[in-house]
Amino acid sequence: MRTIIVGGGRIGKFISKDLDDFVIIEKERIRAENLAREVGEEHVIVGDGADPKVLEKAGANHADALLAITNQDRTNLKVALAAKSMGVPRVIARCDDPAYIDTMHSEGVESVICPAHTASRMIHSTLFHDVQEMASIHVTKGSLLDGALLGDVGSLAKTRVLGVIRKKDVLKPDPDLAVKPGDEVLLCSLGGMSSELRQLMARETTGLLPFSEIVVMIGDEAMIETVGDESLYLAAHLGKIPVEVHYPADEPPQRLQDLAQMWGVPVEHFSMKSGVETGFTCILFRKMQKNSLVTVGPGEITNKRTFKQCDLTKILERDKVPVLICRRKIPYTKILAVYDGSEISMDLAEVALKIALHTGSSLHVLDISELEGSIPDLEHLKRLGRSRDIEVKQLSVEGNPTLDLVALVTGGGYSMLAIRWSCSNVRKDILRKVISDSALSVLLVR
Amino acid sequence: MDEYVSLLIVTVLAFVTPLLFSKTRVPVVVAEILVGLGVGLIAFLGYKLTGVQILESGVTVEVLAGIGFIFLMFLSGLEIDFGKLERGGRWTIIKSVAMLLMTMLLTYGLITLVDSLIGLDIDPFYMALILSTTSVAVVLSIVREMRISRTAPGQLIMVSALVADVVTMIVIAAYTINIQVIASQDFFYGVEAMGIVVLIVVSFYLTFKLGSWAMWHYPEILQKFFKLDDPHELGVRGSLAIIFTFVALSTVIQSEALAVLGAFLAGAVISLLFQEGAMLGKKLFGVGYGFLVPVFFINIGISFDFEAILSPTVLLIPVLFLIAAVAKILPAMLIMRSGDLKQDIATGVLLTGGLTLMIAAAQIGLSLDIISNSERGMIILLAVIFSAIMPIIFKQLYKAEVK
Repeated sequence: MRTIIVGGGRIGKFISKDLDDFVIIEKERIRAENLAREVGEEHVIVGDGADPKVLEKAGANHADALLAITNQDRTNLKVALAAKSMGVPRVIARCDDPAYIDTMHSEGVESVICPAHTASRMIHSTLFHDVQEMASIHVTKGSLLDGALLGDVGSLAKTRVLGVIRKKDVLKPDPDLAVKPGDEVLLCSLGGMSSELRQLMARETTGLLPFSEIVVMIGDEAMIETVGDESLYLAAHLGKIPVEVHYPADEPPQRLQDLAQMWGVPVEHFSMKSGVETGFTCILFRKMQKNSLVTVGPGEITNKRTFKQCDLTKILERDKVPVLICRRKIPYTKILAVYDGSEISMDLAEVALKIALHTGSSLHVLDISELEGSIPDLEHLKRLGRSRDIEVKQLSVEGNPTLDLVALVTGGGYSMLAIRWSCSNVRKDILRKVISDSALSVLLVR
Repeated sequence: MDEYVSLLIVTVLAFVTPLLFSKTRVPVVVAEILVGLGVGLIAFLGYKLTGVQILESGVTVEVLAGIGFIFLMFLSGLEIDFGKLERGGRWTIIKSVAMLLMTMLLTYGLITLVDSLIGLDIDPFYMALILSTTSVAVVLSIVREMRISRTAPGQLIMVSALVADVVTMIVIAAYTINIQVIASQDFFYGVEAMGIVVLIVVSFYLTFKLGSWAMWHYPEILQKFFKLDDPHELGVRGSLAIIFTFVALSTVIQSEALAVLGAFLAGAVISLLFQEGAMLGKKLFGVGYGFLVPVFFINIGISFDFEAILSPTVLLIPVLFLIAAVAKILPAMLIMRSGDLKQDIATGVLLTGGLTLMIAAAQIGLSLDIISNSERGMIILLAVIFSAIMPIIFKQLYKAEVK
């Protein structure tokens, strides 16, 4: 395993002892010469590790791993990015400043090691000898822990609360401290993880479910393969939530039953008498649950003349439930959510993240708002994503929001787009075209 | 006077004017005209006392001012927020159109009445059109400054200003072309004019359709036009090409009104296509308001004919001021009916009088002999008075209302 180490300090030297095929890049000549005497001249290169030419000389093109471990966080980031661009499969960067970790992650460096964090964990485990497992719970809006006092959390989970990470601060475990959405509660269990803690973590995971049921509209047999399959795929990945299928026949078709069995999802069948329009009307008379999702095929939105008046908008407006226009881009690999500065679009980005968490896809949030700075609450989404190895990235508009959105939708390789029906800062007719003519599935909210 | 010395004077004035007026509430464009007028007045008095022409615009400044005028109309088109019109909803647009129609009718009626009483020597319809205009730039800046752009009255004020801008521009162009056709007494000229108008409208439609098609199929190519770091500034070059395509079409029939409309439509089509092209907009505003437009406004002041204004025509200014104010405030009171009279009056006050469009109409009117040189001077002064006074009155009325 060919490994490149950038930074010839104590850590670099220490790591190299366990490696056979390695090279250390060191910027300072004197230190490099001392190092060469200890590990051998053939293992040391003098130069700037962020310079692609130096990396190339070190054999980055065929290296298996690269460790960017200088004492400069910025340099480590530069080195890691350069290595990634040269195709090094595994890149690990050192980050001394905990506040800089998020920047490194947002720039695309997945593996970041913070000595301060590692040391604090080790100190904790030394202090509490009987600690067998440590856990962290990300609190989401409306979940069980949302608003709870830390003292209650400890007794609920029969475990010790170590602290709370709120934005960039680490708060002391004050029993009277109320937990807020976005917080990360650090817990340690004494003598093994208690069943209460496991239950609590499971419930918090349920809190990450974006929907509690899926109402599927299938107008004809062909739609079973698109709308039916994608809806069942989603239900299966969301913990097998119930699916209600509306189909124009007294009995559900065999293919649908086979798919439901394949995905292992409970399906309830409702008969529609004549076509999808009747189906929509059925839905309109039915009381939607707060967390329902309605799924339809793209055929329902191609008639632009009736588009504005159609039942789809009534569902969005009256029931305030999201509608997924299925184009069977499964499995989901990349989801694009559009943030236009409104609270609804932020909530939608959170729903998109929850889908990403359960389907294992990455989430990109395109910021088309005219607000300055980064998207509020995105840090919370990033942290939630990181806890489950899901990449959450912010994309900014470089010139024109409509053009950037179209470019991403048509050529960005996304599986799903999550966008507001009345999204601002995008040309309305182009927005309709994106929704009705693009090749990806579209999750719409009002 | 050397061409470059004239250019030096104008560019230095363009640079110092915003600095000199930074502490006042006078809009910069008004300040530029005032500074130009001041310099022009000094030159005029110098000529009267010594008989020596100490200041002349020169060909270079005149050409640049001409391009500045075209560019100004282009930027006016670019400033139209079609998204705002759409968001305003059907009723807001209907109300705005109704207000404008009532304003036009009232202005025409009042001017005809005054004409029958004291005998005015002006084209009542053309003057009614000029007094019906609104300064979108002034209105938008005041509405934004007062932080009422997202309120219902704020939306109505902005949409009314946009509607007034677009409609009066089109009617002025149509009316002046009609006058040209009648004056030429040439059937083929009429056909040619009609053909060019149709061609411009078709070009506008085709540009929009082609642009929309390209936005969907080749977004990556169009993205280059909006990038901050594009070394070739493709967006600016493309916009200039669109402006002069529309302007060149209009020169076939030698119509300044059509050239103005063409530039305006060029701006409108870019705004309609891209709506939120903030970066390209900033670059174009930089080119326009950084150089060409100040040259135009300062040159208006410098080349102002003080001789012509020293005539009884100047006495008409208060009369026309009153007519314009009544014709804007009354429809606002009758149509807005927000349930708050003071607010409705304030709206009418802010919508009273244009700046750019009034000056444009005066230029066009003079070139076609619809108005005289002294009337042109009177209209410019009126435009300056409107733009300087009305926002202050509006703020007082609206502030009192908010309290």
